[in-house]
Amino acid sequence: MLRTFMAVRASTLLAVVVAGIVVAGCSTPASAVPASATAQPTAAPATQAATASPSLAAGSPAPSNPALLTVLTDWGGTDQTKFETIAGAFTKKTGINVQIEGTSDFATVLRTRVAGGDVPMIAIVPRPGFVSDYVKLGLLKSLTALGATDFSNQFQKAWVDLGSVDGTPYAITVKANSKSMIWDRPADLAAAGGAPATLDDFKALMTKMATGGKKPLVITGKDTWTLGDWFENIYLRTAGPQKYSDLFGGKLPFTDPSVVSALTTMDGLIGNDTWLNGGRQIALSTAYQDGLGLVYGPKPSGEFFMEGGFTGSVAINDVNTSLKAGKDIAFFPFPSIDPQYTNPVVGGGDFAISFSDNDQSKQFMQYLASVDAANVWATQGVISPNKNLNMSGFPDPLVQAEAQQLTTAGLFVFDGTDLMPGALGDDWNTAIQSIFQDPTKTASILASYDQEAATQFGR
Amino acid sequence: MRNARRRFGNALFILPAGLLLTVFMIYPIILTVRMSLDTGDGLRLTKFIGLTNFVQLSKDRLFLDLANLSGAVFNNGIWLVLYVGGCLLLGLVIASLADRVRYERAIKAIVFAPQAIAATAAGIIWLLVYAPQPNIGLLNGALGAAGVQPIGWLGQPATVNLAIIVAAVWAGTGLVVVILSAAIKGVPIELVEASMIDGASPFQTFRRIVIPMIAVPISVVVVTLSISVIKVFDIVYVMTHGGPAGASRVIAYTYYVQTFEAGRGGYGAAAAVIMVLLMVPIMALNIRRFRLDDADR
Amino acid sequence: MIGTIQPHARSRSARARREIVTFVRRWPLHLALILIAVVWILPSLGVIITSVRPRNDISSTGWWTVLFHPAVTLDNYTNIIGSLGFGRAFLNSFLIAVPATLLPISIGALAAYAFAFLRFWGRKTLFLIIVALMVMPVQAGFVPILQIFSTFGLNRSYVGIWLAHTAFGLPFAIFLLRGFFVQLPLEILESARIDGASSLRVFWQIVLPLSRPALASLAVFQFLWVWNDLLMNLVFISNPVLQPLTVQTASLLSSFGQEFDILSASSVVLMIVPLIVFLSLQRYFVRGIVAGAVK
Repeated sequence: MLRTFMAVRASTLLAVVVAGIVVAGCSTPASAVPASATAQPTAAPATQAATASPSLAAGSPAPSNPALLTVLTDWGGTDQTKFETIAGAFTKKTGINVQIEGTSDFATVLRTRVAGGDVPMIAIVPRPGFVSDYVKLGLLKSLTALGATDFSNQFQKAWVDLGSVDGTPYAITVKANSKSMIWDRPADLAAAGGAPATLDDFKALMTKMATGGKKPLVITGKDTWTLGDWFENIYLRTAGPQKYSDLFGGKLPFTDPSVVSALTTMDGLIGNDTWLNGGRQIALSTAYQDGLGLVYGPKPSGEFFMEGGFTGSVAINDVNTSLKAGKDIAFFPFPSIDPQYTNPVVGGGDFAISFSDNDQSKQFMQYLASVDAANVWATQGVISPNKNLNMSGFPDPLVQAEAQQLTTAGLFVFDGTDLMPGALGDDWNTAIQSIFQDPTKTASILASYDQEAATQFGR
Repeated sequence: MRNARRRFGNALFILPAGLLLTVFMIYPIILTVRMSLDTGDGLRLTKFIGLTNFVQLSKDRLFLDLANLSGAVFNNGIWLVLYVGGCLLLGLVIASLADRVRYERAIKAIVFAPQAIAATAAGIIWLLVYAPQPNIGLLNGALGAAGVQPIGWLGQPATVNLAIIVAAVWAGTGLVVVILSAAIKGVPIELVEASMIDGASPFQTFRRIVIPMIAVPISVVVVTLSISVIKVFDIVYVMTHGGPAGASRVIAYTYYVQTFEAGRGGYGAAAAVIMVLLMVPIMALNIRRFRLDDADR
Repeated sequence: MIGTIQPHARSRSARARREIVTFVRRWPLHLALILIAVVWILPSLGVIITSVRPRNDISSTGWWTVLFHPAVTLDNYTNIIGSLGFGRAFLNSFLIAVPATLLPISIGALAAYAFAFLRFWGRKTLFLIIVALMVMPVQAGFVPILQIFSTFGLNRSYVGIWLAHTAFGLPFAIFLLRGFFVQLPLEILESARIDGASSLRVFWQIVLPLSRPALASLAVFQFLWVWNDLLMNLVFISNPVLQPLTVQTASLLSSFGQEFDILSASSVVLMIVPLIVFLSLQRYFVRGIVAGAVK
């Protein structure tokens, strides 16, 4: 009796367990083929992968399919859409399909994919530091090996050098940004007397606004890189380009008096409660896009926001879609500090590197180096530093003005933290955040950061 | 002969598990220990450098800074005190209060529910509580109503760890409540009555009679919570990414940043080895407890 | 406690009155408990309410003022499911969690049976190793496991993450099931053996069916463990399209700052399955979690 009972129960359970295992087994082939999943643009998250060509949806090309190119980027949202247009133009030209994968945790994803053997053919990296990291590991193909030899006719030497390691070029700059601009609300700025030219003018302007009851300056210290950008702009304008490149190139210690002095100037500007929106602690817990909302959102409480050219598109596309470029949102150049440095610009960029020298990678890198690609970028409101670029192709006045600023810069330096190897750049931004947090600790924070930098630079 | 074959057949039962554990746990752990003695550039064995990584870690301001009482190791220490202490205290209070009412089940379910959800979700729930704008964040909204200026809870080193730990305690107390509530019900009512008749106050009774009788479950809870403190990562990653200025980094976060963001395989592995070493006493305790249990049977 | 028990029967109304009096007399206790309940509910309630409010309301007025701004919308949900890929991520979470629950339970049950009833070389030592592995931090295995995946091409699909979750879930599965198995009535097992049943048969037909509560608790525990995991998925799934809800949600944080419209909707989507499991399988759930306390 008992045994019959047990047998019945056992068979039920057996069925369940077996069914479960069968399910597990069956789903193996289904989801074990990434291509079948990745090749469906409709299923792809917008911030993530999407395919450039509709023809991909039907097939299930394995990554080894000769007609498929895989690209990993750190772009999401509208940036991704813009890149899809470039990739679409490339597909139209060559017939090669492009599979784009975007991720917000770019450094980690690229690192784990390389370690896990799932290396993308092309990666668009947000800073030159990545280029040297992966060249050191012997994983990148040089532009010469890729047949993209025309790049020297297309780009100025400074941009070629940024993508070179020990004189060998590996990367093509696909996108350039100015980071030396202060975003404003044009009507309010005009009412207060127009754009300030010098730091003192800027302070006077904000004091004036503050007496009217406003706290105009928005700082987004939760995102450490925005503080890093403030420092770079101020350091370039106080210490000059030579010290700038020595400092971020590992030749000048971070304890140098010029650094301390720039930090003091910086704190006098962004740490001043007269005009700092919300005060220091709130500034430290405000993220980039939230801060942008304080200037351009439905209930604005701030007036000024310092960040790169991409800020315009984020504000218009993601913060407040009713903004009109030029009318509700505009920028003026970061005010000068030491008059001997005229029109200085700190800029950033994104770089294409190739882990593969197969045919589709070669063709894509050659395409990215061409003026054709640069002109397609321009229609998307993206500035390529290609010197043969058609400057009238930009869709909105903000990008036009930014391109103008970049090409007429009296001196141009690249975002310093992006040039440093490994995590040094991030750690520097973190150190600046600590200093903004508590300026009395400046000396000890600089000393301890410099120890880390000295080890990694081999100073 | 037949016996030997039988034993071989028996061993087949553990073969799949043994294989998986060897390939995916034991072998990787050995390799990680080896990696911790290497530069490990690009997450590959590159150059043997002995204990250099450990020496550097000990001087890393974001890992251990004894002068300023900060760094990841110190933060794990704060977690150990405040998270374990907080969960235990609240768990004890809630379990014993709920024991005295009819809607005990409802209270326990409410407190236990966060245990089910991902740390990622818990992190976002509390990001909203702590939002610096008083018209978004509940906490600053309440402070604003009381006339206090908003506080950037997650934006300053002084409050960031406490703020994350409060969120973790919210998520973790339910477990303590359930374990201790079962234990409290196991305390014989006669002992409690006798103590009350002797004139002891409810609090005295609780401290002198109940607590000693649930000492074992309490120790289980403490061990459990300590394990999660050593492993804590997700909620820190979600709420602050270790910021501001690295002030909320924990050991597991240092491992993550160094290994995957900076590509310093050896340095990261050293942090992982330290996590394993911190677990060793707990492993020993578990083994001992298991042996005692087994001998009881 | 003692005083409320009365030996003599009383009229119903008198008893009711007495109960009310007791209830009122103990108001500090009730107040404390209600306060605790409110504190525990408010944070989640905030996210749930925020997730159905229009974007502009969210950034201009606190969710607690929702009664004064009663606009409700599903835009945030259509937004994350439509353009941010949460539909796919939801499916991915299941594709990862279901096999990563069934595998360790089946493999673990086999091993637990052996550890409970069978004799083989090194049984005691091997089991102690398993007890030790139970608390092993996953970080200690990440990079070498990635290299194994690289060698066999496993992290392009879910096979890698299934195996990794299985391996890290096994020690606890074996520990829990063995603990349950050894408490089963030995007579039944022995009578089956005398009848000539093989070990495998005893396992399938007697031990497993009797252990259903333990298997269910373990299944609930492991399923939620995998469903809620962020770190392992972050590291072991290289293809962004295959990522589950946890990773997808965390990525909104870094790419969008703190936009509570999509963040709140995404965390509700992330919570819904665990909460359903919690409400429907509360008994197994609590048992599983409590047993899993040692992990």
